[in-house]
Amino acid sequence: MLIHRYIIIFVLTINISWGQTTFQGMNPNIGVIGDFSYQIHSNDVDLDRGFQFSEVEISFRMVLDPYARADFFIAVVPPEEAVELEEGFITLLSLPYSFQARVGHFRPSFGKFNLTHPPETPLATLPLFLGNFFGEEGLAATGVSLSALIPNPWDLYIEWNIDILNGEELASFKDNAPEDFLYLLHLKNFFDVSENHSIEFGLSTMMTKSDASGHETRLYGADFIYRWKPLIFGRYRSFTLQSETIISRKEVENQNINSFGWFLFLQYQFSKRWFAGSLYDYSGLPTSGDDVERRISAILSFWPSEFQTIKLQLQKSERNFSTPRSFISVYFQWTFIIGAHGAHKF
Amino acid sequence: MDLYHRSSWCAQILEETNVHKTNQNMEKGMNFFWHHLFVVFVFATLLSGKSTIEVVTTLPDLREIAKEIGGEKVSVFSIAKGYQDPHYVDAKPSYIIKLRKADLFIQVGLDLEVGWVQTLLEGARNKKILWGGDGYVNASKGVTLLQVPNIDPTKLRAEGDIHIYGNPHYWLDPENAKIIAENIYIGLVRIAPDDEGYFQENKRQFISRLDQEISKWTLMMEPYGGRKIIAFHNSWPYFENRFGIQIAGFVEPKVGISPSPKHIKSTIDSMKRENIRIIIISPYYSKKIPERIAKEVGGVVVELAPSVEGMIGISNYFDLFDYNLRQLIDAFKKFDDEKSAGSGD
Ligand SMILES: [Zn+2]
Repeated sequence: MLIHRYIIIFVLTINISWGQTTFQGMNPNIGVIGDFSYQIHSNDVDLDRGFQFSEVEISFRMVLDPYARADFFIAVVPPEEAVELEEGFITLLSLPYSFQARVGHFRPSFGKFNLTHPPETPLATLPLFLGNFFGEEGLAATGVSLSALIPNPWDLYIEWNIDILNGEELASFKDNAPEDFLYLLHLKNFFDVSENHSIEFGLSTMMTKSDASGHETRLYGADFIYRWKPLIFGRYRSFTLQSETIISRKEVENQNINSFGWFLFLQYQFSKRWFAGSLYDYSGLPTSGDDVERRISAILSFWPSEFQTIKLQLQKSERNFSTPRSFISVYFQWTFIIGAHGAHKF
Repeated sequence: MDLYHRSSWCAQILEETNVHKTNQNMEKGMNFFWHHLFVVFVFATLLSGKSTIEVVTTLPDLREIAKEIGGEKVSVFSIAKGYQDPHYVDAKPSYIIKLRKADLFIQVGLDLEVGWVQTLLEGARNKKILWGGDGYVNASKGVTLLQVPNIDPTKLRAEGDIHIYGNPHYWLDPENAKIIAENIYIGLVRIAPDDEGYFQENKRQFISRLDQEISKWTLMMEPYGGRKIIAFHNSWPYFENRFGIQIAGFVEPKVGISPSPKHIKSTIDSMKRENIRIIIISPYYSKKIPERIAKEVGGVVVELAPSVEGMIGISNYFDLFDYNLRQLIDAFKKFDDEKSAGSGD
């Protein structure tokens, strides 16, 4: 771990010294995000509270040549100071027949929410199902992805992608044989209802080949976003409704485990710097047909500038497994960015 | 010009439809029908492909100048609307569809569109218009930039959300439109060299009309040289320089930072002290605070168009200055009349 840290410091030093010379143009865009929070978790018996520095995320992003770009996201996670590769991939921007390809370790498009790095989402916590079905940080995997737009006479945005991934570490696929690939298929559709309203919906499916004893796991997902953002005063008012769902069908000895998760997130921007949101969140576990948990959250976010966000999230959680069965959490999260904060995905 | 996609897509549908035919007799007739339909499609594709160059610009101002130079050889589309804040445009996938088919892409450049252009260009999978492609035009090439920051880079953001390469709102000086026109002209010639003469003539006409209008505008503004006004946001230095007005301060204390009560107070004080009565603002900013300040000093908030179609009736690049200068002159006159009426008492 120490070696990793030195590598990062070394890389940063090189870049900083480059910055002072004429090589500035050769410098990738570097961004560093800090994710600090104060959390309180309480049930009838216990009260847990404390500061947490969830991670420092360092990103290096650059166009390699006229045809490709590379992106690296490295997280340093206290207190163990573990260094994790969150993403590291090359994107081939314009292959023949308008294909695009991605190779490396990345966040695949199973749904929409998963594409955003946790510190940059509008929530202090990830939706439950991303954690339960994939992992603490959501879905990230190593492999290749190929995508293309589907031409159509109505000029609608319809994009498909197919990914082949290593996924043996993901919660849903843990017991599959490691040599099995995951196959992911995603379809993204976008419509402008009018200048100020838009709808996006997507369908995802993910499966593994059978494990040693011939069992399969299949996941199905659907995502939907409705956005209202007036073009003229878009910096002062906006509204987002976002919902995603996952259905899992896992074959085990002599039976199937069916489980399910979904969330509904609403967010209203009521002034230039203030957003109010609420989240309903429900999820089963991929390894159990009976265990479920649900949460309801209220979120208030304040953006002092584009480079900091302060969130207050109140959350009530219930579950029918493990203890405590119900608890209340308060998150006071502060994220801050220096350097480049890449182009905003839409 | 997206010949491959349209024709292959047609061919695919035709093939699939062919597979499902069963009746022999019908097949003959259908074959004839499909054959003709196919020919029509191919012709339509070729015709539509040959006849116009698809130009996509980030701002309507660039769109209008591209239309002047490209004339009937181009069809044009601007991603941002003139009444929209160009710093914050959502990279909607529907724009990607426009860019996918574009032959020429023109942007303001510097860091104006930094938050959205990259996502769109990369999503478009269109080699022609990617950076360095023949169909990519950065309109800022050769423009003399104002307000290039000379600040220790680690302290840049202490100045707010400033433009790190210099102020990019250069299209608000009509002299710069000549440079923009030249850049667009070079781009058009690169992708359609056969039409060089046509574009050159259009450029010549545009520049000569521009020269006439600039003399007219300069004359209109002459009586108001050196007049002080306040701006909401720092997007007018090129306009200020060209027309001899003086922007004495900003409602925003730092770029993109909302004014504190203290800053509002000091703006009011300095407006009173220097007898400044006009606050200019773009349509996409909230007028709440400027109006409060204007009320306090007996002044007025004047909405100026930052771009073509920024206000109703501004449909080309010349309208932009006609409108903005008329608004300013009307406001100056109003206070001059008030003053002379006041001194007459
Ligand atoms: Zn600006």
